[in-house]
Amino acid sequence: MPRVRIRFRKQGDARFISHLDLVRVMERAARRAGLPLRLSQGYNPRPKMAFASALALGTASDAEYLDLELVRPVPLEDVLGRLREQLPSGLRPSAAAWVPEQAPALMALVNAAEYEVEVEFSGPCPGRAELEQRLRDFVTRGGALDGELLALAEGRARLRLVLPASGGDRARPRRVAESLLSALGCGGRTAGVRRRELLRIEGGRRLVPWELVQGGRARG
Amino acid sequence: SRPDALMERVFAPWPDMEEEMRRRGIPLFALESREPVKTFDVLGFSLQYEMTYTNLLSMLDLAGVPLQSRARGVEHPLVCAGGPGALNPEPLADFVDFFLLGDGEEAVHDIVREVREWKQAGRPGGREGALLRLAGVEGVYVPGFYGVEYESDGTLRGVWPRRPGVPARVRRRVARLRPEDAPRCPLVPAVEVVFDRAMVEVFRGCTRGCRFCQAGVIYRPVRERPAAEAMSLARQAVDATGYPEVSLVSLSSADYSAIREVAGGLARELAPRGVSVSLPSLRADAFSVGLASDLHRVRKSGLTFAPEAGTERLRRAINKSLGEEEFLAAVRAAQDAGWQHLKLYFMVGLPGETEEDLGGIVSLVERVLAEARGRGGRRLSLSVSVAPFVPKAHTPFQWEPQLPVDELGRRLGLLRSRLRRRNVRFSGHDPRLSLVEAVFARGDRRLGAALEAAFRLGCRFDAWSDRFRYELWLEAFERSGADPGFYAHRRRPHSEVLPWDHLDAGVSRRFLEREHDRALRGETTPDCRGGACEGCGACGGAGRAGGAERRAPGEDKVPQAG
Repeated sequence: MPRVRIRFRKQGDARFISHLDLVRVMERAARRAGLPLRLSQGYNPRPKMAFASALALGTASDAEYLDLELVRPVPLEDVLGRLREQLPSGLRPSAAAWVPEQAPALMALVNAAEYEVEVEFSGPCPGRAELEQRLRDFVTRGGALDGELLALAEGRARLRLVLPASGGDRARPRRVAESLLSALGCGGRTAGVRRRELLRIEGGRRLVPWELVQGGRARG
Repeated sequence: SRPDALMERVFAPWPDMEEEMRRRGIPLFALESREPVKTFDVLGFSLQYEMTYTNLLSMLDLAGVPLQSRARGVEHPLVCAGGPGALNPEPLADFVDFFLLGDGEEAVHDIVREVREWKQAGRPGGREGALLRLAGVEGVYVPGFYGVEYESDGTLRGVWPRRPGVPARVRRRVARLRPEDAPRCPLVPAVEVVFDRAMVEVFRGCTRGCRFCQAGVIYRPVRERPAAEAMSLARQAVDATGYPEVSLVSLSSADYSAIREVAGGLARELAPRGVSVSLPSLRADAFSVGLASDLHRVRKSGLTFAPEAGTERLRRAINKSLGEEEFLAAVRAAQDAGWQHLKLYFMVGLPGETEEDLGGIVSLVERVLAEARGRGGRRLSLSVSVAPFVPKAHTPFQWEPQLPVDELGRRLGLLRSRLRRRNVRFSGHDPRLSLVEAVFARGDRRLGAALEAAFRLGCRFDAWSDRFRYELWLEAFERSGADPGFYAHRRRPHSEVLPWDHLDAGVSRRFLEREHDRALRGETTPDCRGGACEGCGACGGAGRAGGAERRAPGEDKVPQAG
């Protein structure tokens, strides 16, 4: 059974669609798009769909993934085009690719996520060099899988943080930012969070779900 | 749809959002364009339930529109309201500029036309000029053009036009049920809502004649869609929305003459797509094994029956007779078809109710459980929902009193304790909320002051049990000098002038009086679809309230205006 992996953005008003509601939105959009969906068995047949990792309500994302099972192949451009027509603005499918049968499920595949976090300091904050050092220490201590200071200006810092996909507070960018702030000994708040990518980190290698897919790919 | 008019939606914000908006000075805005509501020409409310009226005031206030109709200028939208509540509009008369009584599909175009022409002509006559034009539209009632007089005992003397050119009595609008008026592309919400499914109205109106039911009166005559049309609309709705469920709605879908063909046909057709067909509250006496197994196909939505009363005696008095054996047969059929959960609706405080009738509710529930147990297999679980009876305008029971809050509470408590068992989930509606509902359901224009007082005291979302503030309502009634007992607890003689007598729901007063008398004698009245005409007046007295509107394919009968 052909399985298509769709990459999409979630932004604007769509940030306020919860994960459960997102599943519903996708199901209905896929039905309206007339895609030949494979349905589950039993009393409550639902389109067979799989997501990678639930995104917190209010967080925008550049790269969310959805695997859809179809009963027969459909040109990838059609899948993208038809879904694009049906989805609300804010949920924009950006690419689609076929997934080989034996490939693992998205949720099993993804074990980390990269975020961009904007932090606003409420008082005096350390200079660039010190911030970078403290961030490295934070990562070494296990506060995050990886971290980088992207920008620092006028009491605001933009950070790249790579966090595990699950594990309670260690997976939550806002919580991690809070604990980083207290590690820095600074007051402040998280001003914005954006998920940039979902990852599989394995033996020092870092892969995105696309790289685990063979065969043709369509971009939108 | 039409290219010369734009319609958008707005909902009442939840209290936390309302507070935020007030704090930041954000006026109520339309969902689609985010434009402030007060920039629109017309603001319309659907009056589905009396306990949403404080939200209506709240929305006007948040929008920056003066609450009082007479305080508005040409720069403010015209405020209108329709839906079932418009059949007793008097409590809202101070706040709503005009009401639409009855069906809106055709009337909305008339209203748009009048407002557009008034605007294009430069708004001659100002607001009054607009309202005068609108008063000429069939079904429109402009309360400001009518004066009210009271007797010394507080009852109504009458509601009369206070100017020429407006009808002494406003008749409700009756529209044909046309496929082109059905929504082609229903809005599909991106977040979870109630009634989250595609819907097709298979017919409008009902002639069963249950005496407590307002909808059964105000939506007459019955107008059915031909089977092919209903199925086509259902397919379109499923294609256009992507919903996995389509519901065939009406006041009593099992009474739809083509129900088996349509429900069964759609269920079979849509099953391969994983789409199920559901029917809202079914009459248990019309429920057949065939219907149950047709819907069995895809997935199980819950099954709801509304016996309303516990004994056949009381059921006959309210004209919703249901043989207990027939009901149990329906339960058996449902169980065989795989349903494991049933919901049952009852009322307490119906006219003439005795302790025996209350006991009847308990024994009926027990019989259902015993019946299910006896058949082996999976256990049946029940939800039993009991609500206090609220007498409604335009019904045979409009003269009946509601029982006092304490007595309703006692009866509900009794049922709750006697139905306390595994497999039964009991829910009883708050009788204090039912009292306030009963006041407004048969209220007059003087209640406007109480409503505004309640709003200013902070009442909102009264229908939500965690928001209802009974003590504030009592204070509001006190402050405005309104006695809730006068409206809710008084038995009214047939001779009393009622606050909705100047509005014609299409059914004669004598018919309602006759039905009331029959109720007190315990006599039933059959459905005119199967038998004789009862002369209710809904189809112009020609005896076709039920029969005329069943169209054969290719025919196009139009209900005659009475």
